[in-house]
Amino acid sequence: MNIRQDGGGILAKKPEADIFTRELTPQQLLELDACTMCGQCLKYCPVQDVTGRPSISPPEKIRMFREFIKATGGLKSRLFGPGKVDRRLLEDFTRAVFECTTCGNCGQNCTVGIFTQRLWPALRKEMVRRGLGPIGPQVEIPDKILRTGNPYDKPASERFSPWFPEQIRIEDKAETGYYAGCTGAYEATPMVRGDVLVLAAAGEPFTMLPAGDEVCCGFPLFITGQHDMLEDLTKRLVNAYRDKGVKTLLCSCPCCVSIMARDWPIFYGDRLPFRIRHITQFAAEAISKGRLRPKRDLREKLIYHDPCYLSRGVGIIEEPRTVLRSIPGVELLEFEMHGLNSRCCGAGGAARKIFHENAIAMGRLTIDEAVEKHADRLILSCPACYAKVNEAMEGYDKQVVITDIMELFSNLIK
Amino acid sequence: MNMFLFLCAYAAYALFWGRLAISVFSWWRMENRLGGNGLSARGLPCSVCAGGAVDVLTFRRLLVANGWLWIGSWTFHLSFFLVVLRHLRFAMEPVPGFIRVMQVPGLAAGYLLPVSVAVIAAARFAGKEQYVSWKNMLLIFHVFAIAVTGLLMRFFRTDLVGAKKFVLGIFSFTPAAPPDGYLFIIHFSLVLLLVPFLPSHILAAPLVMFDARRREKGLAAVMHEYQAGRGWDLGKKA
Repeated sequence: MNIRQDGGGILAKKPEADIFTRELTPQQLLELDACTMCGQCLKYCPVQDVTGRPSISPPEKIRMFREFIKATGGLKSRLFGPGKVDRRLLEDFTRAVFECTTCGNCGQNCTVGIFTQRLWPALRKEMVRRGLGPIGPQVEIPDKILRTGNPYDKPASERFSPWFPEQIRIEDKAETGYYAGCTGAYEATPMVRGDVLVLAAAGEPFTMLPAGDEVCCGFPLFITGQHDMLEDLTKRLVNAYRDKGVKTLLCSCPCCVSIMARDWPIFYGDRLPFRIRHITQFAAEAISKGRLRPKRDLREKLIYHDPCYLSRGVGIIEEPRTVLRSIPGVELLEFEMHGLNSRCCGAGGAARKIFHENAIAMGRLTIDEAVEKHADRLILSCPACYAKVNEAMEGYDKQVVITDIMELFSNLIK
Repeated sequence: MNMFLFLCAYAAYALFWGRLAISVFSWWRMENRLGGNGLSARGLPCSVCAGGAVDVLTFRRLLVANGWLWIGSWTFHLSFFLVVLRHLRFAMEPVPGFIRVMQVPGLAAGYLLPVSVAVIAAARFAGKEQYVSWKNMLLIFHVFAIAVTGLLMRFFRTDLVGAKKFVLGIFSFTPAAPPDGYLFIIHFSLVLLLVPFLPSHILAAPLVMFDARRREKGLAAVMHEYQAGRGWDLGKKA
């Protein structure tokens, strides 16, 4: 079929700038059509839990975006010319899509199975292309990464030195590589310290990039719809690890792991020359092979929070539990919503610093449930969760000990 | 009046296909331009096909989310399908055997249809989700009105032969007068109004359900390795 490129015709190609679907995949276009507006997802939306505003709910976002598509590419617009998209509606939509934590629990429980963990970032990207997003401090992320290699604008010299154990050796080249990640290295240091202590305890020779070369994995850019630097960052990191002979790249940050496993091959343009593994996968395997064994009991009730991008994102659910169950004396509790259905702690979607109150309220819901279940310790395995839930507990009347999974495990294998 | 109804019927038909063509064209153009950006395996393994078919036919995901809404929705869609099959007798001559067989189930479905629509509306309003799409509610009310006017024609007898002549006339471009009585005109007009505004999820949702199955099946492959004889190394045996 020949499509007329100019002139009229209802199937004439629309100018690229007009099209609201440019950043979507065909599958995502189908997903927008597939929403039945049943509203069941609201029961699983953490933003709804703390705001109670259906105007920023998943079906409402889809309804608004459908309006944009219809106004610029629907039958009426093709017959009688494109309609005007209400600027106010665009701004409302932009705010709603950036207020979302992109946790994807709405999609996990969607009555037709829309993959919202990928849909919302795509819609954000469209808003960025139109100059409406990102919002607040998210705008500064590319410049910060360009300047310092991380979204926190911290110097590379402080990336490893404050927490890296002096006695642990980093190989120049090794089959196992370790990527600490920016949030872990700057905002959740006990977590990354625990990672390397566990690696060393298992006797695993590993390599790392120098602090100045271990730049952002690209996730903050991806999730805020700012894709310009992603290809460069990915190629820089992948080539650097490849040159160090890495066959398995380990990381503990779920967001890093998710973009590495799902998106790096796309930005790299090929299969990665190494496999991506989460630190709990390494630990669980090392435990099963007898390379790691807790030397002390822990008579405590632990409750484990599944990070959204680790469970729904890449399917790591059993391994953290395997690690925790290997500790003698531990009683493992579960949140009501756990595994694939886990509830966001509030730190997701690069929204935690803009919609601070939402994030704190979500973090406190996690704390509330841990306390209600009489957990002695809340176990996390995500640096963003770690930073935010700790922040949520400041000044809160309910208190629970918060520990990263590798921080805990490394203390028990000493 | 009959010429006006005729023109409305063709307009509704044209709008329906026009809308569908635009959707398919948009999708086709994107498929060519971008391709998929996910890493989920392409193709549909048997298990995904079977699971997807179960999801589509039973509305499994809705059942998990809300039992009452599931009862209403599943009954509604099945009833609607059976009622449409029953109505095909007005558009075909001679009437095929399977359409004759569907007359009794179709009649029973006709009674169930307004009930199921009422259950859907009640489940939506009674739920704690706090989200009501007024466009959807309008559609639900519209379908309810179609179902009720259709049922009323059983009690306020309509000339069925005249109705069939009228419908066949539309299909053969030979206008015939509609049967007497406002009930038929109202019922037919409501159906015409529904055709171009059929919700897009009717076609898209089944495809998305299949993809959701494929994605769920592929989740283990994102970070795990498949070991012959042992399955995915999900860390359970450690």
